[in-house]
Amino acid sequence: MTSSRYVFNIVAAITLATLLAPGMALAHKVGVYAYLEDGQILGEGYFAGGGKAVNSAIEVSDGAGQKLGEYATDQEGNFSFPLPAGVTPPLKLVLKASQGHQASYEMSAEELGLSGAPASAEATAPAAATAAVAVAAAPAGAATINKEELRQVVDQALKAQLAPLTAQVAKLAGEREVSVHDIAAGIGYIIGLMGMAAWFMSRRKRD
Amino acid sequence: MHISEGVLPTPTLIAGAALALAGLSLGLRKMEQERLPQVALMAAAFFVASLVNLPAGPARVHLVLNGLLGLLLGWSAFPAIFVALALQALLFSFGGLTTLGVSTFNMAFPALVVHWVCGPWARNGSNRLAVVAGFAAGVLGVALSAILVALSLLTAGEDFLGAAQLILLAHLPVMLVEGLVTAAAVVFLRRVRPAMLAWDR
Repeated sequence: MTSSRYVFNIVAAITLATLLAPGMALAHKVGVYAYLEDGQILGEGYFAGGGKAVNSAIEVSDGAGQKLGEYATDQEGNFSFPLPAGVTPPLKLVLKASQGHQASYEMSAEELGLSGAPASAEATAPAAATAAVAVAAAPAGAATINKEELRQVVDQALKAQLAPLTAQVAKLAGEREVSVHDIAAGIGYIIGLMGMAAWFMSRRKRD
Repeated sequence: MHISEGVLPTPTLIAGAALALAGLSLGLRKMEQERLPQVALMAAAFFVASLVNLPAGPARVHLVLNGLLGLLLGWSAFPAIFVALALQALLFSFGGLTTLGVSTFNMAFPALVVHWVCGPWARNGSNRLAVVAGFAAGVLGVALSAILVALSLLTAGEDFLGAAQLILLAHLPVMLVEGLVTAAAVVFLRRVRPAMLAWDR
């Protein structure tokens, strides 16, 4: 009995130490995110918990599975490349950070700006309902300024304001930190499995 | 050293799963009921150790503890490591479910080697010898795993020597820390609860 109490104490100590350790970051989960800005795909490869995935390959393919090109992250883990014309969404980016680390990020049609409001009036893409709404939302009262010009100004201002937010949201979508709940759940599972094994073994012994 | 989903070719995944399955069934058969709490404890330690990370150049690496598991569990390191890796994949998104077999073998086989090579010295050697055996167990467990991971990546078309060098270099701090931790654990257990080490399986 003393032996099991001893073991219990150690498990309790490890659990407590883990729960109390502040700001424990993921060790080496690698991640990648990207967003569209002015026809360029910008993004970053990173190790959750701080480090950047530098000089790592970024493989780009489209929704049809066709490979579109291979790029690399720079010294800060950043990468950029022009959005290929006529791409079939979703665009898939795969980061290869050596040592068996790999992460991918998918950019949907919305993220690529292919299904929302067309960027310019001469866009011939079939106008979706959203496009109609966007045009209707533009104030028609201003007489001194061309409607189209106004739309472009607003568009630009919005883009500038939203760029950092877009980057952040994209990063959040790819990252998930380990929480205390995950650790507690894992240890709970192990204790539960131990209980199940003990039960099976005791039945085997009795039979 | 967790290998991500989609890196390894299918034959490697199948081979890894088969090897892990063989190790698992042997490990479960050799597990005694009295040792169950110890196996669970070490599984919990392995599960949590992956969150203790150390800087290594641009990346970060984490503790593995498979040398310690080998010394204390022998064949039962297989079920312990399998359960811990599965939970790491599910809860932390470390590695992947398809690579579970390969990773289990990559981590548990070195544990077994450590059990065979360092175990007798750690249990029955003189005090000084036991410290050396404990340190060697910590270093050997990580080093062998690094080589096995590089071998796995070789089947994915990565150059073996380059990958092995990279992984071994990145894990030098881990080897040092694990050597010290395992040596300390051996000294502690020999004094307090030698029965935990004296498990000839």
